[in-house]
Amino acid sequence: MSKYIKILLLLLFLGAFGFSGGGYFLLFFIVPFEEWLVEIGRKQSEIDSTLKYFVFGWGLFGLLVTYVFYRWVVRKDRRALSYSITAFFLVNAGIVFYLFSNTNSALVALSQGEVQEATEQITFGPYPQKDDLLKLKEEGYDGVITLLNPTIVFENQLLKEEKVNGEEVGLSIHSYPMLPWVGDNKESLDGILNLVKENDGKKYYVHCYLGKHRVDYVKKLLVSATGIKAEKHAELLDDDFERGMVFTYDDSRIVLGPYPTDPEWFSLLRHEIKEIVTLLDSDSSLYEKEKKVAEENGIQFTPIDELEFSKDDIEQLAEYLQNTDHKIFLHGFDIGDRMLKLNVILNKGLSPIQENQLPASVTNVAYWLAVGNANLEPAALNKAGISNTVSYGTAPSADIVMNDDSIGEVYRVAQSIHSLKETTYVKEEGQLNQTSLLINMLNGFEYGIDESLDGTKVESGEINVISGNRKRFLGPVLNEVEWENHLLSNGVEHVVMVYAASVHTEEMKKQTEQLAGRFNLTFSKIDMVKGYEDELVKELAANDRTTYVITAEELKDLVKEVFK
Amino acid sequence: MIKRILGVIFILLFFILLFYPFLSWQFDSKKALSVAVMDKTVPQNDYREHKGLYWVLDHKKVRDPSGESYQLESDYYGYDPEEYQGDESFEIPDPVDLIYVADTYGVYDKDLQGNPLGERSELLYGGLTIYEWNQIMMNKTDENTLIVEFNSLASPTNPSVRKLVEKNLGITWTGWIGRYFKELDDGEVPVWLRENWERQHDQEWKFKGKGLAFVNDHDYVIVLPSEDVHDKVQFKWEKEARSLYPDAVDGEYGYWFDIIQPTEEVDVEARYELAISPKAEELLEDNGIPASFPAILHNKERKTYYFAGDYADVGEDYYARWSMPSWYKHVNSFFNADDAFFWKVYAPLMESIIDAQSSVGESDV
Repeated sequence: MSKYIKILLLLLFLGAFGFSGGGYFLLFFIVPFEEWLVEIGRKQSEIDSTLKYFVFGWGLFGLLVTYVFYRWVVRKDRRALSYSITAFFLVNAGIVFYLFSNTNSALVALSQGEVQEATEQITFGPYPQKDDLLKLKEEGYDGVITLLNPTIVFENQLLKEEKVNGEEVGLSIHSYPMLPWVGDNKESLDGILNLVKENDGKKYYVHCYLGKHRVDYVKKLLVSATGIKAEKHAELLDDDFERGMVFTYDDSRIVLGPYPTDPEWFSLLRHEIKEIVTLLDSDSSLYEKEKKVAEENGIQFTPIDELEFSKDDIEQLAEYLQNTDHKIFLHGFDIGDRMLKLNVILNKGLSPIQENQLPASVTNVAYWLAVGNANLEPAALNKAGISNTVSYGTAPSADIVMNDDSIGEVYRVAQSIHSLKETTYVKEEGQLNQTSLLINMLNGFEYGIDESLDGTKVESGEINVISGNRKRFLGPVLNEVEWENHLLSNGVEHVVMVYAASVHTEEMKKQTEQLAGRFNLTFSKIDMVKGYEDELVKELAANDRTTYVITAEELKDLVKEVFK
Repeated sequence: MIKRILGVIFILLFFILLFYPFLSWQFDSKKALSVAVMDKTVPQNDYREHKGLYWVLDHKKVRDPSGESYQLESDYYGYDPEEYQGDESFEIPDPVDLIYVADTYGVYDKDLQGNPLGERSELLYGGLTIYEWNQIMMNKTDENTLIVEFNSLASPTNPSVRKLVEKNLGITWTGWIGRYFKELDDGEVPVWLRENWERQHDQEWKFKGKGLAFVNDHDYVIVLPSEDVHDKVQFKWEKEARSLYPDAVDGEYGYWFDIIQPTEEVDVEARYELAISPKAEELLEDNGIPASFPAILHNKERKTYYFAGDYADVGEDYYARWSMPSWYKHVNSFFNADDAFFWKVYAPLMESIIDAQSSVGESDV
């Protein structure tokens, strides 16, 4: 073979081997390897610096193989073998070129990334064919940002085709060539950033060849630079709607409440209610409105306006609610007696007491407790549906013996009574005159705190009741007297400390924990660091106890956001 | 023959002397210190806002608890210029020996493209959040050291967070920041500063030569022109502090600083002094800016520091892995005027702080 033929063979071999082998190397090694690196959490910069060596390494390997080809084949004048090997790789290079130029081919399609709609404005994905461009145009896209690099042979061809297709379809093609893994591509990245910033509101489809590496890089840049973040913490469902109290059962699966206002409907819908059971009159306009809400949101709509709410009716309704397996919202126009009675069944599993059978001096608390000083005959109690009697006082004969008449002791009595499992008549023994305090505590356990507590000044700040919340309120760290007057007296059962280390001290936490322990309230601490909102919402949603949330006065506004 | 032997010995001695500082460093014991660094101002991959600190950590052979050296590019919480992403949850190792808040100014839209004119643009990531500060305070104990550096209080940090930081550190920011400019008529002066001054004075910016500029949190700008400024901003150690940081000397400070008032809880260990005309002094005084104000504020009991300047900010890459004699730092400061403050003040100061912190847990490894 002449010298020139040998040189020509070597160049052809180098080019064909490098190109075809490189193509396979990319598809079968580099792309899966990069995916794996991403999966194990490697940073893009680390991935780039790793893969850069493979890219350059492939170049060196190509040179080495070419040398071997020269040393053992060409130089030894093995003419047939030289031509065959070169031809083989040339054919291979042709195949690879064909495969890569036809992005629809199965081999390439297998390695392509998915189309990702990162924001309303920007979608990322692989190379779009003409049909894809047409679809993008129909979907209202304003342009395509292509990262294909004309220095890569097949990408050059695809880029030319894309520009022609774009023109035909009527989509502008913005070319910002990038090289995967090598170079910082700064010029192109800056260009893309400027384009998107200057055309705020326009929709773009960003793509490279496979829709993986380069596209991911641009995605990070744009998401960061355009400040698009979908971060939103979990939301607490109000437990006090404008028209009345809201009760939840079975881990908030069953919600019972009044007819919601528009914002309250939105809140409920965000909590993925699947069925609405309504007690509203089917002739009312509100009924029609909610029926429409249900239809538009694919929610099952169950009217039960015919229900008479007899004892059996209520029990059957409770059974229906308990036997469903989806989120269900039952409501009337407001929260009246019948809803509160239903609450007793769902909450305590008890038949509600007949309050109209009780003397006027006896107070009905939540339709399962009656509190008074009168001596009631068993027959009268029975008639009212009360099966149990409990007395409290300092006298040794009392069922619950108190050490003194302090707020703490009355609270202890209230806790004992509240833990009972049957309808009960509660009677004070002796002259303690703590009945109204006890009733207040029991009502606090059942229905939450009084709005009049809002704005109460305490030593370290002010207590706040947030609209829409009856069983949770917030304020600063309280001293012992404040605990008695504001927490125990109002039936608070649980205290959550949103611990801000910049304001609170370990000492404060310890004192609060000790007070909670002494009065037998449950206590939990949530560190006010990133993500605390979700933890707080979870904590508050997980229980139906009246809860005082301790927040630093300086950070109260931030914590209030969680309640809204 | 003897001549040849002496020659060989001479050459050997020469090489030993030449390589001694490098060998000596290799044989120095490592210091295991758990360090958490926050730097939100990393728009480019030069990491300059915390580069000075990492030089000191490397030079002092500070190693993380697993024995690895701290990496400038990755071992910090903040913005990653290569990923175009900022960290969101500041996880501080427990226990931690040193928490260093280098900068929380953040990254702005135009910073990503170099921003040669220093234009203001949309904030992409930055400001100290209450969650981050709470996390820092949760991990702050009586044993470890917390260092906070300018700009970690000023905009874009929320004023309510700033107040808590001030309270925890025992300092109060006056709302003013300032800087000495070698030339008021070049690109070093940010565009927003010029524009604000022009708008406020309804005049064209025609300053030339050296000068001092002050800006408050309402963007009000005061400029002291060259005729009122006699010298650069002088950084001077207080007498008591000199014994604490024996290798640190007085110097000149040439970058942004903030004007801080101390509370009784902190010691002012170093001050800035402005060499300005009486007229300029009066003007500043009218605006609540003294001619001498704290540069380093130290709460010895709580082990907290506030550095009222961009101290860890270093432009050049300096080789750290050798036993550098103290005098060489002065040589470096002479030949690298822009980093003179780093060599004269910051590096010796941080070396002393690291030594002191290392001795707490006897943490040589």
